[in-house]
Amino acid sequence: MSDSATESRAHKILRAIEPLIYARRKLTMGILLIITAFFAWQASKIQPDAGFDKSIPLKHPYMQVYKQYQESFGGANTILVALMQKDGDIYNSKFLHRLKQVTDAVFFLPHIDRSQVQSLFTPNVTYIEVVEGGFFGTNVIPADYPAEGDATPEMLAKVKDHVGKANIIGRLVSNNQHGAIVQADLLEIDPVTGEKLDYGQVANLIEDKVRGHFASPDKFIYKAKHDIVVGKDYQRKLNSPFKDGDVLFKQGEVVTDGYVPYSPLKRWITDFSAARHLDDGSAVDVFVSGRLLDVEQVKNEDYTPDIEIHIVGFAKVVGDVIDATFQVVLFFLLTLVMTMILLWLYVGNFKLAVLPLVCSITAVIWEFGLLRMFGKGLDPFAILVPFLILAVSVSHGVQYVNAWVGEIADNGRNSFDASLFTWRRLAIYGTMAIMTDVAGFAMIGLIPVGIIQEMALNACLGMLAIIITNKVMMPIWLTWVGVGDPKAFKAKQDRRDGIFDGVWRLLSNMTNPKAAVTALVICAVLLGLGLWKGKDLQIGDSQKGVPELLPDSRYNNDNAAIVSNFALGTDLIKVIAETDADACINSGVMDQIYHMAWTLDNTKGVQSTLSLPELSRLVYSIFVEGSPKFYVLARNKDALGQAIKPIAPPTGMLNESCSAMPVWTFLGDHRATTIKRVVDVVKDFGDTNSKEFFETHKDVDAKYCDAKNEARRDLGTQKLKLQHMTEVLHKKGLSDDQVNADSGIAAQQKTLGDADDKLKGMDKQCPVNFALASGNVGVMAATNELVEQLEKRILLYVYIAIIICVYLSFFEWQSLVSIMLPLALVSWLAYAVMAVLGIGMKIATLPVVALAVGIGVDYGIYVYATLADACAGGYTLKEGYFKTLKMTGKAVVFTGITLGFGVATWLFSGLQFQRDMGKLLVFMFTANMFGAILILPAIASFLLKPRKLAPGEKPVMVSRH
Amino acid sequence: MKTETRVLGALGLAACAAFALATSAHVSAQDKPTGEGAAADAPATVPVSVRPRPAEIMPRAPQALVMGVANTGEHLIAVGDHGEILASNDGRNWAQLAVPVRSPLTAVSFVDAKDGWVVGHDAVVLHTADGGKTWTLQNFQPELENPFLSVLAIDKDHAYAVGAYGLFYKTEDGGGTWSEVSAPVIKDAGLHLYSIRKLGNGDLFIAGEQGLLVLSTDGGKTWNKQKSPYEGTFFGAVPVGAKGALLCGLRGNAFLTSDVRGGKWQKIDTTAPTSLFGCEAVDAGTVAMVGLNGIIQLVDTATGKARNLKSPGDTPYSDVVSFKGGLVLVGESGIQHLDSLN
Repeated sequence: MSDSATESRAHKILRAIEPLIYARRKLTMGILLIITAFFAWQASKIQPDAGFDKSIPLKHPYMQVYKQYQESFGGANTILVALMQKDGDIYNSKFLHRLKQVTDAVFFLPHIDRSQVQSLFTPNVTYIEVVEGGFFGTNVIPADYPAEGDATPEMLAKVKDHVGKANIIGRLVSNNQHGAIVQADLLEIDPVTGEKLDYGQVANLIEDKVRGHFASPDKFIYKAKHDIVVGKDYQRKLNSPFKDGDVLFKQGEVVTDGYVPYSPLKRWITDFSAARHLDDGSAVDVFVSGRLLDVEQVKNEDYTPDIEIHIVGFAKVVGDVIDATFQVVLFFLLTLVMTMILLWLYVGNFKLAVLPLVCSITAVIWEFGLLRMFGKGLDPFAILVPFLILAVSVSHGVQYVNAWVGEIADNGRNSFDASLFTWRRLAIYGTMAIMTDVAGFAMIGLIPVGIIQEMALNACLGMLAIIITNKVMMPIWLTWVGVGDPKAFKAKQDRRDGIFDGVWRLLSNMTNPKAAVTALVICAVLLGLGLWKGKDLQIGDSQKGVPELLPDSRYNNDNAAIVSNFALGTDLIKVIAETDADACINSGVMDQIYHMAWTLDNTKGVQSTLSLPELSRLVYSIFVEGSPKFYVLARNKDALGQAIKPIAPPTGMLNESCSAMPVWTFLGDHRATTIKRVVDVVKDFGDTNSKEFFETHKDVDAKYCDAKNEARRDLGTQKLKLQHMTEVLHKKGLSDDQVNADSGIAAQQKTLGDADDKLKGMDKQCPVNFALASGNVGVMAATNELVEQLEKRILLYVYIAIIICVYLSFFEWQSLVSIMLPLALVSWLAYAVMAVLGIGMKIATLPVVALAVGIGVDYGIYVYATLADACAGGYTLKEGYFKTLKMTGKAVVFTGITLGFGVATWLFSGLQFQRDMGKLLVFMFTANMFGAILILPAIASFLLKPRKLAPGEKPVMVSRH
Repeated sequence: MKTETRVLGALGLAACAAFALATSAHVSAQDKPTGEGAAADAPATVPVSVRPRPAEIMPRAPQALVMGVANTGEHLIAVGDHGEILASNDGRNWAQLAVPVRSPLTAVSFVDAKDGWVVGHDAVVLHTADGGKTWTLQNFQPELENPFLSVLAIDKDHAYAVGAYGLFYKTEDGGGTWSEVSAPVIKDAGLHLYSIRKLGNGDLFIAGEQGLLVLSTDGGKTWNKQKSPYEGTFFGAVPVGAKGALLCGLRGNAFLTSDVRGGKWQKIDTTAPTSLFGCEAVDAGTVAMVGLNGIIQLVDTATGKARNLKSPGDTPYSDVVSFKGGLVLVGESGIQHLDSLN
């Protein structure tokens, strides 16, 4: 059916490559082993690499706003530490002392944005009180509060009084005043050193120095096992004051202490932060590997069982996911072992069972090695990719071994010939199937989110590695595998093969018109069902808390405790009101912002809002002796100026020039529907507000103001670019002077100046631009919009890529219909399954779509190729399909069942994310298997026409390549 | 909602607050610009708020700032921020009414169950002739940049409104025209006028900033300053008996007299220096005073003794009205109620 020119081209390619593999097998294998050893060495150095910035769609307009104002209004990368007194309120010396200690501990964590730390003990938290003739404002904790020892009851009463007046109940103090919060923001890139935050390490530090310090009954002292020498045990950093050969810590010297018990394994892989004191009294932070340390357990004097500590934040989630990595890997191993045992049962030969696994593990080693060489680490949220590589590799490996056994048993060839003939028959189909996966993943990489692009790269590298390990390594190895007496082997295989003949015979009826039509009708019904249920698929999160972790995990319990005790909770979206400099004394502008906040306040799902106009009301009323009748937005410019004055930029309510003011909007949850509702309200309000503005301000129009908004965004973008360039140079170790002298920096400064002039030139007043969005929910909003917008399109691209690849494999339209239809059906059903299981479509689950297609296409190509070969060889459809099932079909069934069982163990994982993926994968592995062996032949039976045999001619099984 | 609506807390006040406050701590009327002056400085473009825009019906209006409340005899009417006018028959369920303006509304006064006035910021005056069902805008002068703070409905045709910086208007034709009252004693002082009330004997009584007390014994023709027992601000005045009154004000200062013309005031012992922003008669012998931190005090006007009631809230109250043996309280956290006075 394919044209002869292609066939000969395929032949030519095969003939050209064959000698590379089969001519000098030992040499080739040797080279492969050396490369594998090199990659293994590279892979051993791979680091977990989590990142907040790469998990957000930085190109999305919301995120440009977020980055532009991150410096002024903090980011979304927040950490909340809540201390809850078990009995009684927070107004006792011990609690307040602990709160101060936690505040200090948080303050000194690496990469903390220290200006944004807030608790009762930080100077940016104050209150105002009315007195005759004016008013009075100062810190909530009085200046004479004792640093050590107990505070007097009068002092505690004063603190309580101030807390009431500062209006922080519900945010920094719990609703019933039994708890208090320390809030902080993490900076992913240190602006001074340009270094990237290590989330795992920060999470460990928070767990240890903050929670462990008070919640653990034990304390652990870490001492040097032997002299720790710079250069040998400790790698110097840039600008390090040490020389190679310096002794950092002497043997037995206390290096650091901690409060959280580490398992020996975890201690081995953890770097402990320690302070090395220099002769001049200053201290340098160093990180010392746990394997150099001895641990001694003592009693923790600061153990405070009557205070509970809850911690939430992205860093903590990453930490918990990394902590679970060990378990994830354990489940992978379990899956592997199960696969191996089943494989052994299947081929009845241990050597042959191990082979596909060894090749698969080699592929993963290559994948890690390549990833590391690309300068990437393994993201904890992409931990499933290696397993996916393993699964695809096993699927191909089983096909290969299966075919090889067939060559020996059925055609009586020796190991070498069997390998060669298998190679000739499967190399092109197998490679095309893998290339199809590569194309699919490359398409996923079109999603402009760092983590997904990394995942796509990761998967593509792995797939390419599979081509080498499965199409080069395995064939060579198989030439060396002896099967003993070929006759006995054949007899054994025939006997084993015969067991399922009844099943295959039954399944081959799928090609009967009646069965085929029935199957197609069932498919149509399923498709309808899938489309109907799939509509319920949520974009984003569909539950409270963090969906990656179990609902009853400590993190989600912490989250629930904070949400239930503090009115404001943890879900925040900041709408940035953008306008001109000094706009906060313009009552017209402030009125627009105030009205936006009030509209949000009245939106379902919004708990409350906080904004500069709102705050100005309190100060204004205080200026008028506290009268509630002046608890309004001041109408007069000067009065407004006075009301704004006490509210400084560090509060996060306005920027330095007062040209941007965020409306902090606290939500009850972060369900996708809630986020969408809030976003829609903001957009609608902006539109209506602009329209009303243009009606009363005839000197400007939408076009002018759109251009002005664009100029403002451009200014922000240029600023960020300059900042980024500076960070990069800092990271290279350049000093400030050197950075300023850099020509690129100078050019960027000029561009920035031009952008600034352009915006300043547009001095006509425009309606307030309500820009979305910052805060953790702002990030979610952007991500959800992106996923919603791209999900269908990316799926389309994936399908187009696969269609092209499948067509290139067979050069016939029948292959497309037969392979793609079952695949499409499973994709739609996968959506329905996600909807039913309550798994939202989000960044982490998006690649699953490609995964489903990737696994399914392998099955389809193998089954279709053999069936089409059989038909071309003159077999009737039914006989041909029986033959197919015996040759490739049983391997498909086996792979589907094996991988399905393997991932079913994930349902017991400690990570909700892995559980969810487990459920989805079980469905996909088995559904695709059924699609390939039940639906594919049903469709093909209408499309493939068996070759008419001449009288007396026997049908033959020949590869059409 | 109470913490939610004003959770500015820490944010409200930065470290530099102390400095900013120190430089501008003593705020007196002279420091403040007059409305005219500020209006002259205003930019040439017309501010957005200049055109009256109808108030929006919002579900959380009863939980937001509510500044005044009155009992018409048939309904309770409460007024607040965002131009909201709310009506209730039971003091618990409130419905927001359509209002042609969205300026903050500060006070409400009814002649009878039908006719009443509401005043507010932007010198807004609203009138109803059908018991609150429909409201018409009778005055709107945002360019003054001054609010009305209290309104007194005398009869169907006559009403007075007082406000910030001596703002003092009246109507004699049911609101067809509102014009400035000529009262030099008030205009010259330029102080905030927080309350205008009619005493038992028909005298008109105004209380305000810096202990200002002004009385008209001739039905509003002439206005005379009264000797004051206190130099701080009075936020409220209530008629007591035939010719007496009670005053409530800054930092727990409250005074009682049985004869306003006589000018002999008795200081009420309010136990705490907590500002009292509103006071209203509960019955013939009792006045309720409300204010900062949700304080509620009952004064026996015969003895001048005050006692505290347990409050349902802890944010400032602006006004109070007696209702079905209890109180309806309005303030920064919206409308609350107290079932009994025990």
